[in-house]
Amino acid sequence: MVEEVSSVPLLEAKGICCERGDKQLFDSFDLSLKAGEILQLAGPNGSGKTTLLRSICGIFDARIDSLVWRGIPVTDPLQYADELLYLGHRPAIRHHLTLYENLSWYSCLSRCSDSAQLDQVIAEVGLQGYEDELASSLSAGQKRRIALARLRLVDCNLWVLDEPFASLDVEGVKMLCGWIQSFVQSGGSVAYSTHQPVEFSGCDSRILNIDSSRTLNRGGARQ
Amino acid sequence: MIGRVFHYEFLQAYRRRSELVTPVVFFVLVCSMFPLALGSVADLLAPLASGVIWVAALLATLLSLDQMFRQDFDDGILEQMELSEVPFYQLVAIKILAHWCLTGLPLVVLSPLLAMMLFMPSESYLSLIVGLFLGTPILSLIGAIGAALTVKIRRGNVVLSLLIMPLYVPVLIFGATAPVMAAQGIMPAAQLLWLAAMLVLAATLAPLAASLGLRINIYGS
Repeated sequence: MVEEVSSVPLLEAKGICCERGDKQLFDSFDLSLKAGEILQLAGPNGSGKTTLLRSICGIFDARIDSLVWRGIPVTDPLQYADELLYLGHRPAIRHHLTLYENLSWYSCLSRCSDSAQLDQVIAEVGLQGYEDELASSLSAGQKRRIALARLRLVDCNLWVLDEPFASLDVEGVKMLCGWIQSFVQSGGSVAYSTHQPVEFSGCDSRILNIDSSRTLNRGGARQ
Repeated sequence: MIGRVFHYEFLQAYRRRSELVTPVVFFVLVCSMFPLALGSVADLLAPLASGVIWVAALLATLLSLDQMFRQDFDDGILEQMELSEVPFYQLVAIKILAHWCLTGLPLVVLSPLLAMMLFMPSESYLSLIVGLFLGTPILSLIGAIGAALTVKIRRGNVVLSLLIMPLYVPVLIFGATAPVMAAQGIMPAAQLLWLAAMLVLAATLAPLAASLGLRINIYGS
């Protein structure tokens, strides 16, 4: 099935325009992502990585001329929200719930709760023994791991990760890289932003430098 | 599934009860100040009782509104809710219900005690309790719209009050007059039915309006 659709991009967004405050971040910017591809957004702080990721998830007020998912135009970005998983730079942890309750709550939201699976996921992210700790008492890295546990809970085709490596330790970075690799090998796609140099061996990965590509666009407009 | 989402919403709100106790304490304190200020005279306090209790309940609800969405918005939880497979307005409705259970419902439960303290005639008790039971959810629901719109404004309390107060007035009028009617021996069916109708309207539309308000703020952040 993956071969069948591989010629059509998984996601194709054309003419993304967005502004933040008074600053025009993108002006008819195009982005496309194939199935099984890893796209890294690079660029200095404030260049609009988060804004771009939020725009393609449909949770930023951006104007997109055409958004095509597997060859089918999407009229409302939220329509395809079930196909993707977004992890923001804010870990979206409920501080007054325990680790277990946090994941259970999240699996309720995505309608995929199964308590055996939860235990397994907690072990996978290396937080065994912390199940009944309040999330507020965990460290930043542990909170990040709770957020990442969602990647194991939900079945989808596109991961949109905003700074997923922030506050992770070396082991955690290795764990997440392994997940990303096995995810794209099974046909999923990943768009993420990071400032860390991360290598994916044997995967179709691409780096999009936002600042330079936008300068190119602007240069074109000036001529 | 919805039931479990409510369970966690309630649990989260319950564990932050130090914030939620404030409106309830405020409600009790305001009502208990009146006998101290005016003197413990039944003839003086009895006609004021329902008005005092209703105004105090309204202000107590107003105090609690600011916290309804703020924390979840800052933590990025609302954007995950927005992206989830459960419709966003349903999740917002669940949040409002959990909020009411911990801030509105205690006011309803405490109101007979305060009514007793203010020498409310015994015929009025039922209409006060029923009125508050119908009215406090309306306050939470309408308040949620204001809380959703001002979720990004730090110290948005004043704006929120200005936005919401005019919408609270009909609830206050119907709610506060019902016990007065009952004290005169007239069945306050009209007032209570109006409150019930307003509750149905608010329960239907307020979660939608609040979720749209939150969406504007999520999209703009």
